[in-house]
Amino acid sequence: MSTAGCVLFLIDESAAMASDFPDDGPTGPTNAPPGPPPVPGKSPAPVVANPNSKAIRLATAVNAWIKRTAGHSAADIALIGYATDADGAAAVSARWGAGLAGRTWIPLPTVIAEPVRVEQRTRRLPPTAPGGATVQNVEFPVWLEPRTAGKAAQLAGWTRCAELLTEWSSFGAVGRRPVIVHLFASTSADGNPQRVIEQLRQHPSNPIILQIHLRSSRSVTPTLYPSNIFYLPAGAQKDLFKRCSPLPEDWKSALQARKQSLQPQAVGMLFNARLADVAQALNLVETHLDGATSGTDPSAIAAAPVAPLVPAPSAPAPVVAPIVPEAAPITPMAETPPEAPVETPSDSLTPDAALTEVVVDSSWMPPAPVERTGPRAAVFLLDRSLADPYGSALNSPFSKLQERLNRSLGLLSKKPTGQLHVAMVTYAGDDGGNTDVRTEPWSADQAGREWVTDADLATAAIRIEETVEEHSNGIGGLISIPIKKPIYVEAESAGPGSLVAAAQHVSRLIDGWSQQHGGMVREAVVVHFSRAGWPSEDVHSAAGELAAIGIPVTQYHVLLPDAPHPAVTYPTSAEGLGLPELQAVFEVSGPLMGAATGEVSRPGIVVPESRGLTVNAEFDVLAESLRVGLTV
Amino acid sequence: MYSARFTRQTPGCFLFLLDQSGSMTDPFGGNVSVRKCDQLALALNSWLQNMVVKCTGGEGVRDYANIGVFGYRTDAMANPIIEPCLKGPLAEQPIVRISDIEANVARIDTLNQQYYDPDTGELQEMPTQVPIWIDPVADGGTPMCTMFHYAYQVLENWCAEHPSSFPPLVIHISDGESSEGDPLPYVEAIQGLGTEDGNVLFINCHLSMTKADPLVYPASSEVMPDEWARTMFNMSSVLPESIVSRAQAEGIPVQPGSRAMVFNADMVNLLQLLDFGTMVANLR
Repeated sequence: MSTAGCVLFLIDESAAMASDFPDDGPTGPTNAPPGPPPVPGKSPAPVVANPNSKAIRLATAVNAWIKRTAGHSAADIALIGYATDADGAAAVSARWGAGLAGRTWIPLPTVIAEPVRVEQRTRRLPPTAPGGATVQNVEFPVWLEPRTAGKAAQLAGWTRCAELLTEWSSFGAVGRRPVIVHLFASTSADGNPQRVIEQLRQHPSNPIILQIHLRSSRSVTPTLYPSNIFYLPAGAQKDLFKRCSPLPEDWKSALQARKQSLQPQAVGMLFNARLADVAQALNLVETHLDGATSGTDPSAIAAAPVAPLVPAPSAPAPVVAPIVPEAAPITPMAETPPEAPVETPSDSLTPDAALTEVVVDSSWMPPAPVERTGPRAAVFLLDRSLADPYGSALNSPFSKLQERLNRSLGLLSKKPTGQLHVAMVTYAGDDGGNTDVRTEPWSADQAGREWVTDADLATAAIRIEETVEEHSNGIGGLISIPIKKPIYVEAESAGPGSLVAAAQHVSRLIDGWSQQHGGMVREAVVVHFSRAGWPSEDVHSAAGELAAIGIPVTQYHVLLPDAPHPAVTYPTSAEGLGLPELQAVFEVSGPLMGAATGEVSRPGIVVPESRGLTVNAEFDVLAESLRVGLTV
Repeated sequence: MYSARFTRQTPGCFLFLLDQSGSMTDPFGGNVSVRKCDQLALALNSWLQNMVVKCTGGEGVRDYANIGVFGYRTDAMANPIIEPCLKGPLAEQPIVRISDIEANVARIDTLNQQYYDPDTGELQEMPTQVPIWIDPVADGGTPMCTMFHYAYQVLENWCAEHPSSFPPLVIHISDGESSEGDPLPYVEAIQGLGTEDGNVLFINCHLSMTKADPLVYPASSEVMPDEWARTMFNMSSVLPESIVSRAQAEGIPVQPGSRAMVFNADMVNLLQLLDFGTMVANLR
């Protein structure tokens, strides 16, 4: 193996990468050219339909990078793509093709000689080009062919990455630090990669890990090379901060020379990156390889500590939300001030504290419906836990619940009332026994807001995925219909968290919302998506927390228990519910709104006494029920 | 094993056993505007038409397949009624040839077919002429054991007459439990029948009234949500290896050890299961 160093590109090839990569405008002459038509006579490129998709634009950037870098470096390169296959199992593969297929690490001089094909592309020239030319034909060699399918098996991808790094350094290579560039658009669908990445950072070769998340909307602000975890929004960005390397000194100098503002402890992380940001980061990697950067880093032995950076002790460090767009109508819905970072002690509730104040009363009934007017709040509460937090999350109850939550929100957005206010909260437990409860902010045009109305949902998704579903055609046949699936939340799985802590957080959230409207509100509904498994007494304690708010709160539950359980839809008694915590859930589940008056009807399935509870079944009347009494 | 081709000399056999109990008037898959029995009839009629088309050659319909369709229910006195669903001359024999089916359409109905219009992005409807062979029936209880007992005799005769054919496929579609006790011994007897190419494949489809989560071709009985699902699991044949590999190539979610079973099916699951049956026949 070469002493010129190595670069491993770890590439997300899930369906998320097929969605748009919104442009800022025409790219400069040396940046990625527009997508070409297929070369006649050659087989067409594999299935990525949208020419503006992240996958295609990324492939162009990577292919261009390979061609440029080969001009001055002999480093070893690996291209690794991860997704899931047709059966839903994780699929990680080396993405070299044609003559290089089947190999993992390949030195650049060998790569440059064997592209999969050479395309004829046009490059836009600046208007002052000699001869008045506006385009120039260039030969564009292609090594990486974009493809997208399935889910993001990120854990499997990083695991392979670790194997490959060990393989490369086993050849006794010395010299500059290996670089791992992770290019992705979504969260891991097959489990939490935190541990694998931590181990990778401890590798003796001291790799530089660069995490590059691609943006899906024009309205979000990129986070580039942050230096302090406390200023990052809770969730994906905070998690990502712990999974990349501090920037080497020479990389920082190079960035500062290009007017990129940086703090001393900046790390190799880009979130919601634009194509120009990706290109700039790839330039850093290219420069790293050409010897202008110091290859032998004196601190090569000890990897940087993994724990987040500690701020000044007295700094309260509020979580600053990204841009609040001007386009939002001025309604009393201005978001409540963002909460303090969730690592504060008040969120980690010990079980004893939860039980001391609350008397478990199994005859507790949901509050009787009251004639109220004003807006209604719906909090979608997602349990992020898995029975095995670091195991595979593919096809887990959590991933199905998250998909259902996204689908339910998508359905709500189709018939907006403007009076239904929606927020998303997720909860799970970490290794230390603390519960992490987060209000997940909305995205795109509603970026950073906690509450949006159902009318805003259309512009609040992280991205819209396109997929195809089969439907009955009315005469006994099947037709395939293209469906747009908006993704509103894309969280990672973790361990079981406290339902009571989640209820307290939701309680404060709803209370804040109610006060914003001077108390002139109808009621709130909490739609809880969970795999159950919490202690039964927690169910009642949580209900107690919600009952303490000044307005009526109805609980709905969408449950996918780990243990096999028959399907139950909108039950009228606890009879069909086999698990003890499900009996408790029945007792706290509110009556299905609209069932008693007949506004929501499913003959034979929904009856006036139906509760808002489903187990192992779709809560198909959710959108209708949440809209009851609100005019469309 | 399970590799014989469907030919005119060695035709294959599809035997449909349809639940016609009263609960089949309930809605299907959470969709209140359709009844299970109506959707089942639609699905079967469409399948028969497809099969006719697949078997049609230059000179007419080639008898690659033999087909039987039976329904079971009870009368007001709880006596079991086992009836052929195909009508007229087709009801004279328990198993008929596909060419006879083509020649004996009960009637033609005009139904609304939905199709997707890519230009407007909408679902449009178009009246379409549809041949009808079977009509929905739903009344009474669920005499599964009696049905299987009768099916055994039909299959025993057919297997004796077609020793070199692909083994018969029994497709049993129901929405609830047997009202005559445990049907498993009857099913096991049927699975003991077969041809030189293998034993009868018993395929079960359970229709759901609500939007319950479907279980499609499960490989383990550990995830069965209730006792009836577990019984149905035991009643379903393990898919043979040759079928598993062909199904996987078509993108059907089967694995080695998968059982021929769909539990909590909705209309799409039912139609996909019928397509699966066609795929097994591997007709060009």
